[in-house]
Amino acid sequence: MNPFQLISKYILGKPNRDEYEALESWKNESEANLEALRQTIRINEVSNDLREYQQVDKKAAWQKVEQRIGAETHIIGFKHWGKIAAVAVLILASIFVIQSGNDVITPEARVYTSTGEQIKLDDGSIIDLDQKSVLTASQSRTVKLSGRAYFDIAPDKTKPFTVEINHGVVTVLGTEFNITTDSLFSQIYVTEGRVKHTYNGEEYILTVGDMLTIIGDKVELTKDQTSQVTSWKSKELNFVNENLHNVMKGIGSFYNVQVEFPAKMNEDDCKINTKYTSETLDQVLKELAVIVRLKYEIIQGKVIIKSFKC
Amino acid sequence: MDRLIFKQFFETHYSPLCNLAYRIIGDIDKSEDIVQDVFVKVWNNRDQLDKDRNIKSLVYTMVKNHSLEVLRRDGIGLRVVRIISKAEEDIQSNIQEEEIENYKLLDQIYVSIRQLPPKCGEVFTLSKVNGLTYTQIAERMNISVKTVENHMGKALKLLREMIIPKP
Repeated sequence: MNPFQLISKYILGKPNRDEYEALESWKNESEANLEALRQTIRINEVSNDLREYQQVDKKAAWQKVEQRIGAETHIIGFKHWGKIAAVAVLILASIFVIQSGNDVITPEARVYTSTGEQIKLDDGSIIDLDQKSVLTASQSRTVKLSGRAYFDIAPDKTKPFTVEINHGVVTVLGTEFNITTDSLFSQIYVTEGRVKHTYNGEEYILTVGDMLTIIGDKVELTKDQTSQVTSWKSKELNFVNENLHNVMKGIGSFYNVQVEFPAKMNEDDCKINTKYTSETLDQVLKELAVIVRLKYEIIQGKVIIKSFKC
Repeated sequence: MDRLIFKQFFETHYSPLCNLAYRIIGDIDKSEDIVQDVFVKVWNNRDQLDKDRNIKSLVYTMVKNHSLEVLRRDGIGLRVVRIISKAEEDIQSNIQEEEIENYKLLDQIYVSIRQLPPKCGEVFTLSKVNGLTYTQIAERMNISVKTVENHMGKALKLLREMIIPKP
């Protein structure tokens, strides 16, 4: 009998004498064994309180709290920035007198996090920032993104707008596009106009409907006219006679999770009609379990499809 | 405290705090109100917070005391008598670190259940959430009591691996 079976026997209360002794000697073998036993007992005991556990909507609660504490974007280290900015302006002003005619770069870095409100930059550009995403605006028309955002950039032919992402730089003249970026994965999707992406010395020009996906050093350009990648922004997913592959693709970008189909399941001819707005991922998957008998597993934040029936 | 840190703190502790308040007053809507009030209070007074003070312990203590106040004011019935007399002794005193950790752990367990293999998660839920006995679970799922025990053991093992970081 392996140690873990012994532990569960012990915790669940019915070890016989031999089992009890086997566990005792295993427990005394090492500090790690003892710790494992303690932790498991604790998890078992705390779990007994699950009967009274109440689920709450953190997102809605945060919005309420945010309304009460003021939802304006926060400038990190405001007090200190005030000082630094004052000093910097002073120094720049004196340089400016001596070398007038040079461009003065405003020494101001703003860090935005998602507040549920659109970010309006000084140049008129509007940015929707998703949850858990951070946008740093270091100077006029230059930002750095980690996470997911939708950009509506004010045109300015003289000064391109650039977005630094984990995989390269996106340069824009005036357009609308969606970016998701983290250390492993970046994705750019253009809904209007043109953007240029530069990474590892390679350039890609993207136009409407182009989706550029970068995983590590692999760059892939695809056309995706019906993409739901921007659905997170409108907070609504709407499917009309859509097959399951596309539905899952939409759900993946809406909830920002990866979805994996078994390799043999290339296409399907399900016809799914449904609409999601404020449902949790869990609720959506449970609904699909009813509609198409979807069987799935969630492993490390990845939804893995096991089977389904149209 | 800047907003990002405040928000992260909220994300981690909001649900455990609501459950702490709920255990005292037995009404989840009121519990949420209490916790939100405390968060707003903390934010509005962030300049006066002592840097060395343990914010986590402060917030949990505030929620607990606030809940007890609400219970005294609005509560009726046996629940009140039972809880207040139990809490009387430690009211106004700081909440213990272990109690805080237990609320956080409960929250992590709840979130992690859905990552368990389906049968295993079902058995664990029926036992711990719905309070069924192993025999009842066995009948309901048409499996043997032995299998129920195995699933429970596996669930505890997996939960521990998911929740407690490897050293």
